[in-house]
Amino acid sequence: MKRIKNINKNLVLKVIGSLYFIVSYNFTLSLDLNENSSSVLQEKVTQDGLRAYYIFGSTNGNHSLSGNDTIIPNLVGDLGLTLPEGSNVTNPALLNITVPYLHTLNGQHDIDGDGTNEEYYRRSEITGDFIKFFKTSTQGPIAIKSGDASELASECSANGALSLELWLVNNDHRPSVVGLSKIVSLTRNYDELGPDNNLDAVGNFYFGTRYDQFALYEAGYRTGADIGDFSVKQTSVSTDFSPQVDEPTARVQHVFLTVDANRTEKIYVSDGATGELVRMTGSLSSHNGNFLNWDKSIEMVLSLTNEISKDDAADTALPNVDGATQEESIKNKAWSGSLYSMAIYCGALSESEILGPRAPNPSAKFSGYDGISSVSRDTITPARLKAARLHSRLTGVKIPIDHPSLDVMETEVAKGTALGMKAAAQEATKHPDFYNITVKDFATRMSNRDETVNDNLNDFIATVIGVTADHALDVDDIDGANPGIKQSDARTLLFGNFVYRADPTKSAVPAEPVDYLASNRHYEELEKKRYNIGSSLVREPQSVFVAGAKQNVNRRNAAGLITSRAFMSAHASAGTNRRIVEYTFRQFLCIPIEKWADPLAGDDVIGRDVERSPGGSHQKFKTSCRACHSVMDGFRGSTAYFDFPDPPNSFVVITDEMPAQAATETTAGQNLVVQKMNRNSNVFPAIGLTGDARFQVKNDARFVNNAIYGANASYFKWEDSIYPNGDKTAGVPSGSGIRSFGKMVSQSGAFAPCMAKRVYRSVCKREPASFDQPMLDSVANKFSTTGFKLKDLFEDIALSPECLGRD
Amino acid sequence: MRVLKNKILSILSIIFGLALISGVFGNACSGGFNSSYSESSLNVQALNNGDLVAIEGKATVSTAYSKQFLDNMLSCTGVLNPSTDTLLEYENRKGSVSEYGYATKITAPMLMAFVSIAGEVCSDLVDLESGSTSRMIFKDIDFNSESIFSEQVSQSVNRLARSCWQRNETDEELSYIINDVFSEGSVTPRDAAVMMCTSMLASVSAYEM
Repeated sequence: MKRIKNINKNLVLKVIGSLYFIVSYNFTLSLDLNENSSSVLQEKVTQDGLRAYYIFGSTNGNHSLSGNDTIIPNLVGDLGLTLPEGSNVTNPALLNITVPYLHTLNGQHDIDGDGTNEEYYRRSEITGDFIKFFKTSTQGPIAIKSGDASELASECSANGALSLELWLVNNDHRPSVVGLSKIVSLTRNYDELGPDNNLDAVGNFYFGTRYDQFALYEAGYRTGADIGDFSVKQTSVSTDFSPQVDEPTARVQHVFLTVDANRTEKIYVSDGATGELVRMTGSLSSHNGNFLNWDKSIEMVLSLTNEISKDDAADTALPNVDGATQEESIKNKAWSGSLYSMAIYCGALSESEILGPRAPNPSAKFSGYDGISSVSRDTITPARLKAARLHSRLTGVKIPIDHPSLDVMETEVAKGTALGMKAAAQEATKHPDFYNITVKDFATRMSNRDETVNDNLNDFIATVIGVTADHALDVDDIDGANPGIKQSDARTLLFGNFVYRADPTKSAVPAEPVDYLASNRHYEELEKKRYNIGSSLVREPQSVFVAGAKQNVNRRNAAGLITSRAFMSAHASAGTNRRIVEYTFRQFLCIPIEKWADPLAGDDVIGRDVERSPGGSHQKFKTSCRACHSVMDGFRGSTAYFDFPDPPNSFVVITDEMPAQAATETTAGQNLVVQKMNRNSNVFPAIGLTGDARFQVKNDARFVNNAIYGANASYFKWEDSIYPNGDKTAGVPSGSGIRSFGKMVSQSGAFAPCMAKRVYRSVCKREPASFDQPMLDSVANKFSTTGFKLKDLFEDIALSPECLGRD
Repeated sequence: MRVLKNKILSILSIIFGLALISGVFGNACSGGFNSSYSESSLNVQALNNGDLVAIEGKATVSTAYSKQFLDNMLSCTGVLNPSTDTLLEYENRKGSVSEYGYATKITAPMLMAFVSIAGEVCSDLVDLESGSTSRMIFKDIDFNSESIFSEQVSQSVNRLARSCWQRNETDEELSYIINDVFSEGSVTPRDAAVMMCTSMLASVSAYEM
């Protein structure tokens, strides 16, 4: 079936490649804000043929600008604004109209002291004069009358789309009873029509604000001959973007309106906390706006801070919807605030162009690639094929054989050197799908109980991707026991106090604590909206969900991936926390339980819930149960404060951090140890025959390492540092708490080979065979001696002949 | 599925035809389409590899798997923003898509899923390019025209082959595709583009990794 041509897509394409119009732009203009001023509309034609109309201004009313002038001086530093990448903020403001609000509902102001209320005047801070703002006067309205405005009307009408960007301080805090305060209007020029013309005050377009329970920005566009049908408004209860009544603020806001040819309107306003643009949600009233009906027959006026009305005395008596006269009505539409800059596109800007890299589906995946310009059956060189294969190995996807990235890689591969191949691999790992697909694949299998790749992004996966992407992070991890370990070291994934979340400056996803601590929405949206994950993350300390908010955890309770929500939800739900130990070894050391089971290890640590004579046979316990439990239960104590309750409390519980949960999840006298650690403790109550009373009832987070004997010594390859004083003969290694457990696991010599094996599966698309073992040993050794950098491990394995092929 | 339902059989016939030409099915190898570099892997190793046997010194051939399958199509075609229809089609079909990508585990439902998803991606691609002045794949096709010529299709075949197969098509493959696209006589440019694209994206050369 044919799909209907999507006009939106066409328009998006038309503007793809164009940058924000506030980036550096060469121009020269003079500005004089009075009625007889020359054009203050500056036109720019983008490379895609979309014209942008710029309104520029200055504080002295006659300022010449040239060179790379841009908007908003010093606001980035002073007010915490973030301008789009590439913006130059070193030059003076282009437009700075400050309009103090002088009118009340009753208009009781005698500004010039002549005993008459100047209901129609306000002071221009540009000229210092009072100006009559809705009629023409010698002092001039803040309005732009020129042929350009008519041209703008014609072009926007023809394109059927419009985008408007404003930088402003909104100081308008009147209640909604007076209607909308108009910031920008495009209307007929009634001066040209003359006072006796009977045409009504028809406008093509307006944008303004009002306060109506919640702050609203509102926009409309003409629907035909009638006025009053304008109707798009959006608000947000979560973003404070306008002052409350009588509580004006001085915060600069960045505001976007875009209307596409399908008449889909979107309003974006910068968030008060971050300064980043956020798409407004809320009511969007129905409308029938039609750009084709825009009035193009007479000269148009683009007016700022209010609309233009005709100078017709007879109209002053006409009742308006709010019961005011025409003049009063229009008077009350004057907007109060400071306007710094404005630009209008006669086209709809895409979300990517408005939000930049934070937009869903940023085009980085194919940035700079223009496709295949002509039919070419050129022979593809072996070096290029090899480069393409290497690229696919590392990114999990194919790119066109003529892709510029392969030009670079082909050159390096053709050198035939190890350095050249490494450079080629490094080029491939720049591709966002290295993180989106390959590293995600590697991490996903470890993050869930089924060990499947068919799982959503979660905090575990994001944290692995984050550490891989931060391969150059040469900062010491904060850890007294290992001061030399860097944050980019993969071992910190087992004991570090960090997690990676979506960077709010680069993504627009649900980011309340409930979205990432008590659900997975935060991460699922990040993936669903197709962000480039590797470049959209930020590192944060681990936290727990307390009374609907997040609370950073004490470092002793943070163990990297082990204490991630995903891993805990998989292995700390129900049960007795033994699964945490089993899967920690399985995922990070690649040692399954059947391998590390040791029937000769001590049994004094085995939980009281384990039957010592199953079926009446103590021998069975000794030969079967004991083998697994001696090791597993030895380590289990480290998880004593952790639980992952059933819904609705779908968050990690750490009882010694969360008093409310401790009250229901622990038993008095057991020092905040979760109840499941001592579940069914009457099955074998006679524990402690060795005389060690510690393990009779679990009442702390201490643990012992019973995986040091016999074959386990060669499986785990523990570093000497886990033993007391580094002396293997000094006793059984032990520790307390989950962080200590994670650190001990990271000190296993099996960690590096396990990571190598897992990377091999994700990159080389099969489990390693026995003939791959020497290579895996080699890259694992390099991995462990060069800072445990995951990105290097991926590259080194992809480059191996075992993975890429020898020919 | 929005793809020309009455063309599914034709598309499948092209896919099987391409497979026969290249000799890909049956040994889990690449190399049928490709140059001497991308050769296959066959030996007696790896019990955990879904019956795949690895050859020492040879790059293992696998298929794109899980969501990577969709991402691969989007990457090679340059469709950055898949439509809702495409994402929905993937969600509906993902149960048939391989979880591990073993080349020995290509099943009939999987092939049908490949065709369905490829059809949606190709519809996205045609939508994208029919509204653009900077074409990548269908540079020579006038979507407003009522007819299309084989020369226009063949040029697009080459561009798509270099994009998603990472190689040039052979004369035999080109002939096979052209004959099938025009097998029923006249065809609209859009139908021809979607059919040609779908058959190529759903063929093994597009998703063997």
